Parts: sequence; C-alpha cells; structure tokens
Amino acid sequence: MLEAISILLALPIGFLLVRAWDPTAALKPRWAGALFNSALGAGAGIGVTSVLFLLLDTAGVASQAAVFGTDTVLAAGLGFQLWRSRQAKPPIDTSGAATPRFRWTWVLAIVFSAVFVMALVRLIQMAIALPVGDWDAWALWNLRAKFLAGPGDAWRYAVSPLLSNSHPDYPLLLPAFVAHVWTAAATVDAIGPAMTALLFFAALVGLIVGAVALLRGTASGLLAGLVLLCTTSLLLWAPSQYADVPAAYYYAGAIALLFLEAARGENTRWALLWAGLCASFAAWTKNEGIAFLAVTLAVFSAFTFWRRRTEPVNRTMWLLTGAAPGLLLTLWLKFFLAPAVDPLVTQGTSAAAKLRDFTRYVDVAQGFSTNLLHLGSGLSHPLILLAILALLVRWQLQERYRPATLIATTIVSLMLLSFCAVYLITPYGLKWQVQSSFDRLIVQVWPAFLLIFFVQLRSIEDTAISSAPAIKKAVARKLPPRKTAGVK
Amino acid sequence: MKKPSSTQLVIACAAVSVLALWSAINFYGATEEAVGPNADVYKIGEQAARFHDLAAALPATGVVGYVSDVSTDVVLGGVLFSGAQYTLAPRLVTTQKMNPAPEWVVGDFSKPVDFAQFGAARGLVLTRDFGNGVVLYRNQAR
Repeated sequence: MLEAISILLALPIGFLLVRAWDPTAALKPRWAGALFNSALGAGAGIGVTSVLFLLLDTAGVASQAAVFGTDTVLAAGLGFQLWRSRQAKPPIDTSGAATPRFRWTWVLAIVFSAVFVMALVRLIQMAIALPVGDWDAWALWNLRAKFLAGPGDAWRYAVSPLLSNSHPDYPLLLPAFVAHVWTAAATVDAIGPAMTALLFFAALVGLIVGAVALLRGTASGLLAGLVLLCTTSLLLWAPSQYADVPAAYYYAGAIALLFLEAARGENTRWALLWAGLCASFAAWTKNEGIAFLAVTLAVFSAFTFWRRRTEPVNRTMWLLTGAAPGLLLTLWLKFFLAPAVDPLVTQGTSAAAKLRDFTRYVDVAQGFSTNLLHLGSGLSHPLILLAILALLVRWQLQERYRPATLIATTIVSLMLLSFCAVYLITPYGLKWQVQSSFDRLIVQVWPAFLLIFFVQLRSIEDTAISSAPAIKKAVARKLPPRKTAGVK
Repeated sequence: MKKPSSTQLVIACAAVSVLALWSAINFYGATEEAVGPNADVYKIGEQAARFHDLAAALPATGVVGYVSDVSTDVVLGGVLFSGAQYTLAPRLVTTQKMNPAPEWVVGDFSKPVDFAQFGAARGLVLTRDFGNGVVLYRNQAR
C-alpha cells in the first residue's frame, strides 16, 4: 500500500512541475494538452524523485521519513506555487475555438479506449504472473534497486566492480526510483517495479496520443495510439521491468517536445527545456540514452545554427539547461562512481578488426530486418497499418514542422546507426547479442519514429473539413482560421 | 500531393480500427503462457523461500562469496548465480577473488554432492546445510 502511495506521490510532483512550466499552454485541443502534460508529468515525477532519492541515499540520509518528507514538501511547495500563480493571473481561456472535428472521431476514441483497456488488462495479468520481471529485471535493474534501498553504505554495491556480471556502470534512474518506492514502503515487494513498468507504458501511450493530437488533431492522435498498441514487441516488453520502455518514453518525450516547440512559435522556450530534461533522463535511464542525449544536443545545435533560426544560442541554451541534470549525473556515474568496466568500452583496438569483417554487417542487417518484422504480427503489423495510412491519407509536411522533422529524423537515424555500430564491435557473441537485444532497441526508437510519421501524415481533421463542403461552411462560420500557412 | 477523399479517410480509419482490435484479441492468444503458472521460467520467485534461512544467518549487508557445482558460464549456472545475487541483496554476492576473501560463502547446488568435501577443496568449512542445495561455508583463509 505504501509503495502505491509513494509512486502516486511522485506523479503530482511531475504534474505540478509540468504545470509550472507548461510546454503545451495555448495549444489545442486542451484535452490533448492535459493528456500530454499528465504523461510528461509521470515521467518527470519519476525522474525527479529518483534523482532526489539517489542524492539522499549517497548522503546517507535516505529513510522512510526522509523520502516521504521530501516528496510531500516538494509536492506541497509546487502546489502552493501553482495556487499562487493562478491567483495572480486568470487561467487561459480555452473555451474559444474548438478543433475541427472528423465525423468519425468518436468511433476512433471508442476503439482506442477498448484496445488500450484490453492491452492494459493483459499486461497487468502478465505482471501478476511474473512479479519479479524478466531476466534483466532481477539480474540487473532490481538487483541494484535492492542495493540502493539497503541500509547504510549498501548503495555502493550498486556501482561496485564486484558486480561485473551485472553492469555496475549502467545508469540509475530506474533502480533509484524503485529503491525510492521500497524505502518509502520500508519493504521490498515486487509491486513497486511492476507498477513502475506499467506506469511508463501507460505514460508512453498518453504521450504519443497527446502529442500527435496537439500537432495533427484528435483523430490522428488516436490513430497513432492504435498503431502503437499494435506493436506487439512493445507490449511484450512493457511488463518485463526492463529499462527499454522507460528509455522509449523519454526519447519520444524529447522528440515530441521538439515538435511542440515548433507548434508554439517563438514565444516560450519551456518545450525546449522539457525536451532537454527528457533527453537527460533518457541518458540517466540506459547507456543508449547517453547516445540519445549526445545526438540530440549535437543535431539540435547544428541544425539551429545552420538554418540560422532565431536566437540559435538562446534556444540551444534552453535545451542544454534542461539536459544539465542528467548530463551531470551521467558524468558523476561514469567518471567517479562506476568507471566503465564493460568489455565493449575496454576492448581497445580489437574493435577495429571487427569492423573489417563483412559477415558482421550481414548479421546486423539480418537482425534488424528480422526484428522489424517481429514488431507486430500478421495483418495488424504496425508497418502494414502505416502503409495503409500513407496510401490512403497521404503526406502533408507543414513548413513550421520542417526543421523539427529534419532534427528528429536525423536523431532517430543516428540512434539506429549507433545501435548497429555497437553490434559491429561487440566483444560478445554477435548473433546472441543481436537475438537477445535488437528487438528492444527497435522498441526504444519506435514511438519516436511513429511521432515523426504522424507529423508528416495529413491531418485527418483538416482533410475531412476540406473534403466536405457542408462541414467546411459550418466550420468557417464558427472557427477562427488555423495556422495552415506554408502548407506544402 | 492530391488530397484524399472522405471515403479514403473513412476506409483508412476503419482498417486501422478493425486491425487494432484484431491485434488486441490476437495478443491475448499469443500471451497465454505468459499469464500461466509457468511464466517464471527461471523460478526466481521460488528463490526467496529457498534462501530464506540462509539469509537470516548472514549479516544484513556485506560482501559474500559464492560457489556452485555449475559454472556461471552456462545458462543454468548463470540463473543460479544471478538468482542468488538478487535474492540475497543488499548483500553483494560475488564469484570474484577478493583480498581479504569474504568471510561467508554461499554454496548453491543443482544436485546432491558432498558439500563438506566440495568446500574443503576450495578452503571452505561447511557451517550449515539449509537443504534444497543451499549451504553456508566459512572461509578458512581469513
């Protein structure tokens, strides 16, 4: 029970932080803004409380009272701040213009709700049947959570070189959050990591549906959610308590916020701040996330300066400011707490010899294509659904999303290339490693890829309006013009 | 690019909806085993009971050694070792050589062997046999 309270206490902390620096303010539909902010708040709350717990733990003051006390004070402080800011200025009027409606959006909403509930029920059943999670959950992530939740200096074992079979240099967001929950509950129970895993899955779905609905309308958002829920490998990994779905969540969050910043125009930079924070939490979740953070910072800076967009230094600084927490924590972990002992990093020049072996390229390419096929099954494979949408709904790249699209596509492409590069030089058996991990790596970038796809796809609402003269007239009477200038 | 007609939009949405519902139903069929009694293929959930008495005999934290009749390089040995590591945390169970060697060493066996002799060959004194292949050794080297 206390575990559930501790997890639920992390959520309002995140929600209130997101409300304080709202990345979707003035974007419509407001339900989508609220959904996106709630989903973002879940990940932010988990990230923030995880980092706070680690700081308390390493300072030797992490106890049940300290954890609950810190969380409660933080939530109360943020709540008071929100209440004061509401008193100071009236809330933004969201009762004005409504998003143009596709006639069958309500059907999509019912189908999406049904599919989401069916998936969630099954995932809960899977989590109950296997409460300890899959191999990496108990051999790696929750093992380290137990050390972090242990008495005295036991936290040091989580980064001890004696754990060489268990990657002591892996980032600590997930173990520290689970340890936070266990310390708050004063018990080590499987419900904490299981709930955390399902929470990340639900937040990922909310993030994708909310972001696409904000960027391309409600119907498009629901379709994106349906395609995501058809990704069988994502569903299979969701209750496993691995860090791949949390990593996918933070990647998708960062990419979505880059698009939302483009949608909002030049008035605020909160979206960039949050994008940086998501990327930094990705780095604090998995080693692949470190690559994501580095690639995001490099690609965003390069494109922003290259295209001479307004305030390139300022914009890059906002992203960097958001990225600072995870960046600093990662540097602390990698250079002070647990210097790299992974053979991948310590193998030296033998990696170069592997790059000259052509058969390794073939194995990696085969692994990629095989695992891409295993993303879904049969006719409901997500790639088939995307093909149907591309053929029937077609593309419409809006000018305002062009730079963000270039940045996001480059980031996802470079991430895939980095995965392939690591496989090429892996010191472990290549076939075994590809077989045991490539599907999870594809799951990491898949939601971000879906976001990019749906931003390029025609908005169902806009197309439906322009295709139906009667609705078009009615909408023209009631609605202010939407920003469709520059549509190509 | 030419705009799609309303009919095309409806067909696209209907196709995705129907296939998504079909996918959700299929997922239930594909995960029958994952919700069944054999979902925990490595039996990690059972290790807590197996190591319960041994854990009570060990200090609450600290580094503990590990020996087994199965090499950790094979899957069974890896499962046994990682399962013991997880179950006995926040004690750090390790197979690595340390100086000084850990005072307590966990013996984790897949089949009946002469535990005392197995330990003696490694400089370990059998302290207690907890049954079910779990024993506790004390290091003679200390």
